[in-house]
Amino acid sequence: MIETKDKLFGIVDLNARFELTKFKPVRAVLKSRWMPLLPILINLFMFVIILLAAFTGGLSAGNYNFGIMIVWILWWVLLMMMLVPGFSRAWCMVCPFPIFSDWAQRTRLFDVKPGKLGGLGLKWPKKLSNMWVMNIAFLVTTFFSGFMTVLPIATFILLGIIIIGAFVIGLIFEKRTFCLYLCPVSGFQGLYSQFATVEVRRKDWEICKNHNPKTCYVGNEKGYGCPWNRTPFDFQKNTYCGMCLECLKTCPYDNMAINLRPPGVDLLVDTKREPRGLDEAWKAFIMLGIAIVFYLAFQGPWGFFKDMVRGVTLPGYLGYIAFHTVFNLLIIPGVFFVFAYLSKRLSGNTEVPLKSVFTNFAYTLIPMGLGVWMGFSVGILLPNGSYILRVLSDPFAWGWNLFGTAQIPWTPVLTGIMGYIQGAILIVFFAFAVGYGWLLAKQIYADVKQAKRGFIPILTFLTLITLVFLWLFVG
Amino acid sequence: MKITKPIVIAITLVLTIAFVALVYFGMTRARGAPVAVPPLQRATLVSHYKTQSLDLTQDVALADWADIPGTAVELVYQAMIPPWSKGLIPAVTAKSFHNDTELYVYVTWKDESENRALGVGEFSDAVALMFPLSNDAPPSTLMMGFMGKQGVNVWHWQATQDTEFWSKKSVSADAYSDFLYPFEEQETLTIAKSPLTSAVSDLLAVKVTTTTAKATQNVQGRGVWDKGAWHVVFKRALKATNAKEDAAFAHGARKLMAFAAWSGDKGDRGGRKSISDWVQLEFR
Amino acid sequence: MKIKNEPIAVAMLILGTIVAIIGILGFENYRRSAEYTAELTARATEYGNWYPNTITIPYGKPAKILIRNIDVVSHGFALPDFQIAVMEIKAGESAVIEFTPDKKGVFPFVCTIWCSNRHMEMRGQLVVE
Ligand code: SF4
Ligand SMILES: [Cu+2]
Repeated sequence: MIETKDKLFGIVDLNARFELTKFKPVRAVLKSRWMPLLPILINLFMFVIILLAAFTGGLSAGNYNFGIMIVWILWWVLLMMMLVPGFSRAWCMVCPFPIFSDWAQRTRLFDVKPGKLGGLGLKWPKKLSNMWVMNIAFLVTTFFSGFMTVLPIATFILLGIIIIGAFVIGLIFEKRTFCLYLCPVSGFQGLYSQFATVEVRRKDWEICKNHNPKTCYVGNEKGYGCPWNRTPFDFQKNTYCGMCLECLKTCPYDNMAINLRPPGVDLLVDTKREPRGLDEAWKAFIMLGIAIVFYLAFQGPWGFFKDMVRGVTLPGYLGYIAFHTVFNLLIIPGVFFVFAYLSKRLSGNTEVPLKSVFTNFAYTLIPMGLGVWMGFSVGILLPNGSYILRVLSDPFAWGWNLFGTAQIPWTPVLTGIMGYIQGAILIVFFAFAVGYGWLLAKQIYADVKQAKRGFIPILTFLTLITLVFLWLFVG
Repeated sequence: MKITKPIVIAITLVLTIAFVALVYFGMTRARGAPVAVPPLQRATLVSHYKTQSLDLTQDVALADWADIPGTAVELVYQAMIPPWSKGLIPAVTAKSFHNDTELYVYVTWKDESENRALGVGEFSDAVALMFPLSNDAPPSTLMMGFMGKQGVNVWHWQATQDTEFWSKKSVSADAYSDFLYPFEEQETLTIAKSPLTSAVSDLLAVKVTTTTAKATQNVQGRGVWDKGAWHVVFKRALKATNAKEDAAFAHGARKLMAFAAWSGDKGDRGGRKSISDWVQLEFR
Repeated sequence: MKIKNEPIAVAMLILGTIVAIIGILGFENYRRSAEYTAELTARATEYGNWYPNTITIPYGKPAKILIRNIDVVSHGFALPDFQIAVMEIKAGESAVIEFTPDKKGVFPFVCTIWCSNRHMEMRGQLVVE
């Protein structure tokens, strides 16, 4: 836990924590090896249904397909609106994709087999031990977004690649290398989970200091050493913590805890072991850019752009890919760079390298982007949520009616005030972005005076982004 | 079992191949079992050049049509807009010729009963030809013919109107209900039709249910019922009087057309009819 | 005796994957053959038309036909000789028609929605014998 005197908005104590695991039954449940295995198995079953529906759905209409609806409406929206901002990487806790490689490495599904893990166990190259591969993987995945939501088989292909990829990578590389550096769903969860209101952290450093060997890292008969290659006894950022709960099991002193905390605390973390980096900055740019492009493509007014994204004509589609790539990798960072440059000029500080001004302030885009994505998700959920009830009752469009909801017509909810809901969410997250921006400014610049002046361009940038989206949402 | 490099390679290969095969299978069966779809086949009606003109005021000169080859045109139920017909007229046979100034089209189909009168629950036999006004009408979009900006020109021959016009006698003492061609759902009382200028109504339709009689009626026609079959002849100037409303024809040109037929004793009227797909009309 | 959790976990995994897939496909196969007299899939002419194009049902017995639109556009089903129709079956949806054929013969059924340029060809035959 970082110690900071700063208070968010001047009132929120960022050191405040509420330990959820102090309740005995909670800790007992989390220490059971059925947790998270049981939810994973249930989830695996769900994904089997999703895959089967996406496969049998083939090229037919997406809006009645269980695979598409659950993945892109329910799952995606849940991720963006609840799981990540609320519970950090709670999805990864119950994610079924890596279960096969875990099984292959451990040769046990439930039990703990002490000793070396199976598989080739290679180390992932240091150079790639960051978000860059995921940045690209995610960007490339969004090239196909126009098909993913329309053609069930496209969703099948994507999920299939992820599942097979997770398995094969798990055979070749150690532990959860796939999750750490390759999974397309991982990057934004890692990035945005820095904002989450939940964290897994050690409690008392004194206990850890004298505990050797550190079983949370190497494992013992109760559980495996951190599959995500963290050092549970001292990490400070949610980014790469998959919440797999092994460390709660392996710590003999019950020194690991799950805490509730004020949102966004990790944004202020910048240590040698967990430095802020350009990879995460770019992830933030990409996520923001994709939100803009998606908004224009799926909820915006331009039919021609929609057609480009859907690949109606090949040149149009290639145009979209080119635009999308340049926009996300160059234009957004470029614009932000201008503001970072202005920030440095205005602050009058000559010592701070421009690069760190740029990188550090990019972290304001984490709350900003999250707000934009939540707004976008509301725009998916409210109009299309009723489809979910349908597909639950008739997952394969075979004329089933499991829960009696198969005939529910398409009923958009609250679409009249949807724009205002989106706007309200956006403004709340804008406030967080500004709040943390100010704290970051104080970290970056030498004194409050410089910080104030240097913060002005960043504030302008955040305001502009917010206004653009307010205009898009509310119209 | 120890996982070694060859094993990993083998597993990767097997999984990849299996996945690709599965996706391939899924894609090919994605729209259900693959079946061979026969290419689009459209009937052609050839309108040959012939130095002859027919005088319809006498009668339908059936003998003049005997040696002209006919084209069988299959009809199906009009089922897009209910109510539908209770009995299908499965086909009509069409013939045509032109003499560089006039176009003649002859249509015949089997009908057990001759229905020339109107009354309560009594309906007229009829046949209609439809031509898209735009020359670049998208092929095989019968419905789009209506939806297109320019619409379609319809020549609607009705047995009752034929009687009224040629025999100069009223088909019904009272007001009777009638349907304008071809998709009207409501029975509408006909507006005063007199004076009739032809046995064929020359209509213009731009959209479904917007069928209206044209200001100038340019089509003549006459029908005769003989031994369980109708024989109807249409006649119009080859050139269009008004290109915006009249289908335009020319020697050497091609034009799409479609047929519709009504059987009065089966209760056909309005949208209750049998219709054809596009037929290619070729002038030689 | 201590409960062995490992085999339970493995059993659950197999149950949730392989058994689930086989079970669902098998059940659906059984359900269709048990519940319906015939099954039709609707696709625009270019993509396969009514499939199968000819279906046969017995005379005088109640028939229950499952019509699945597996296309990406709406289709409709009309069997004018029996005055039976489902005017619109949206893409991905299915419909069931039930009736007792009271005449023998071959009857055309057609699509009721302008679904493609070759809509007029979207026809099939119902044989009652
Ligand atoms: S990183 Fe990806 S594969 Fe790994 S647990 Fe999270 S979502 Fe699942
Ligand atoms: Cu159709």
